[in-house]
Amino acid sequence: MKRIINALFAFMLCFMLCTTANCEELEEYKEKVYDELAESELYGIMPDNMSDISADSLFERIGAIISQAVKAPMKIIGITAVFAIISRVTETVSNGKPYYQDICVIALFVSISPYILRSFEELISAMNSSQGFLAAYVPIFASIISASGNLNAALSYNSILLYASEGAVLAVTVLIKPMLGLMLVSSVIHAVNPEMPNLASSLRRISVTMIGFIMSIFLGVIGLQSIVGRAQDSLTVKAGKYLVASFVPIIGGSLNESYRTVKASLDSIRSVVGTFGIVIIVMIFITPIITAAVYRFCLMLCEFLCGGLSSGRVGMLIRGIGEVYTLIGAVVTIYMLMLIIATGALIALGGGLNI
Amino acid sequence: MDIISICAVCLITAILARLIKQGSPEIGFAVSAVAVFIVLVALTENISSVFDEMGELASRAGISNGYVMIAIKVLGISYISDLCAGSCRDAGESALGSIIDISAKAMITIVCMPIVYTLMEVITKILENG
Repeated sequence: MKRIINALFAFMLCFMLCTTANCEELEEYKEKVYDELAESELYGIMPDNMSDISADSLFERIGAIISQAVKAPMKIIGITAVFAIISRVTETVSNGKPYYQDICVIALFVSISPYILRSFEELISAMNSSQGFLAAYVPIFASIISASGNLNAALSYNSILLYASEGAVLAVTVLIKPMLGLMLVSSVIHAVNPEMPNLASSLRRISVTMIGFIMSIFLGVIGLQSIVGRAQDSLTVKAGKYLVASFVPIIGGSLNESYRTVKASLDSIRSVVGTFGIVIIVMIFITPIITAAVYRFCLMLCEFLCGGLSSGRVGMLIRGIGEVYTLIGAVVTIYMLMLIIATGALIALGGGLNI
Repeated sequence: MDIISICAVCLITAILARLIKQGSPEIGFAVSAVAVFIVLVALTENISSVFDEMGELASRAGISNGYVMIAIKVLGISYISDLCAGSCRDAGESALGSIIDISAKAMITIVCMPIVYTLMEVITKILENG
């Protein structure tokens, strides 16, 4: 009996110390989050100012990101237009000799490559800084979940998402970055010599499938947590359906299902940490998503322009580069969805939420 | 020189060359070669303004003028070599015409080398960074 009382006392003591440690860690993580926010200018949003956030300020922020992101693509449009015109003029006056098109394609690629490569660096660095922020954000989020009584969820969330964020950045560095380079090179080779196979679309499909596979494994781990944890709720079922049906809304046909899964996850996040959680997740990823979308849109305009000027080979090059930005957009979107679904699922699985 | 003048010069030269060739084929060839040279010079004056505009357009878009110059040089090489090779063939010197064609292709390759070299550098940089 004495041993049991001693053990109980020791357990209570450990629990109290652990709680104290959690409070200290919470403060520490809070400081880290503030530092990350200040460094990344998140993106203009600080926790102290959360109450001041309005739809107007969010739109202003998005407008600022777009106006910043649109500068380089506008130059790309200008350069492409000039080369499309030169290509057309030289083709007309040269009695259809093929090498003028080759020269124009090569010159265009060489001229726009600095902008393209810089945007790749910026997007990958944005992904890295998002990971840096997540590394500080996940523990504080886990502490908030544990404070709300969901200890299991907090523990799972903390470890899994930290590994996931590290894994995602590793995947981007090891897998996606070389793939982007290969796609770019493949695009220019195909545009110079149309007899060569166009690998850009195939590489994009392979990349997205591979990321989807990684995502399915990651969410499968969360699914296993559900076996250990609570009974299946609607969110878990939806997440499961989403996994089986398709990986990403961009490539799959289960847009409605994925939308419902993400919405359910967002609802669960909002119910635990309020709008702050949702806004912060969106703001982490909004810069790379908007930048990739702006580039993609401008490249579509360039393609349209080339079509209008009948500069087929130049248009072919632009189409290939556009595929690269589609992949970047898909990667960032997948990463964001993974974070949202994982957060929502773990909140729901770990404790008191019934969605 | 506008297109009507060019056509007029060419037609008159063709008739003259045809008439002269019956008596002296060498002089007939010389007449047609001189006419080709005159038309080419006149055309160069007109077309140079188009290339100037293209260069201006490129510099406004922030494109290195070197790339546009390469395209123009290739066009010039192609035009001159076509005319000369055609003239040689008219004079019955097909071998000379062929060598002009081959030389023109070699010259085009040499002129394009800097841009190809830059492309290779960019590709190497992309693959190395990946």
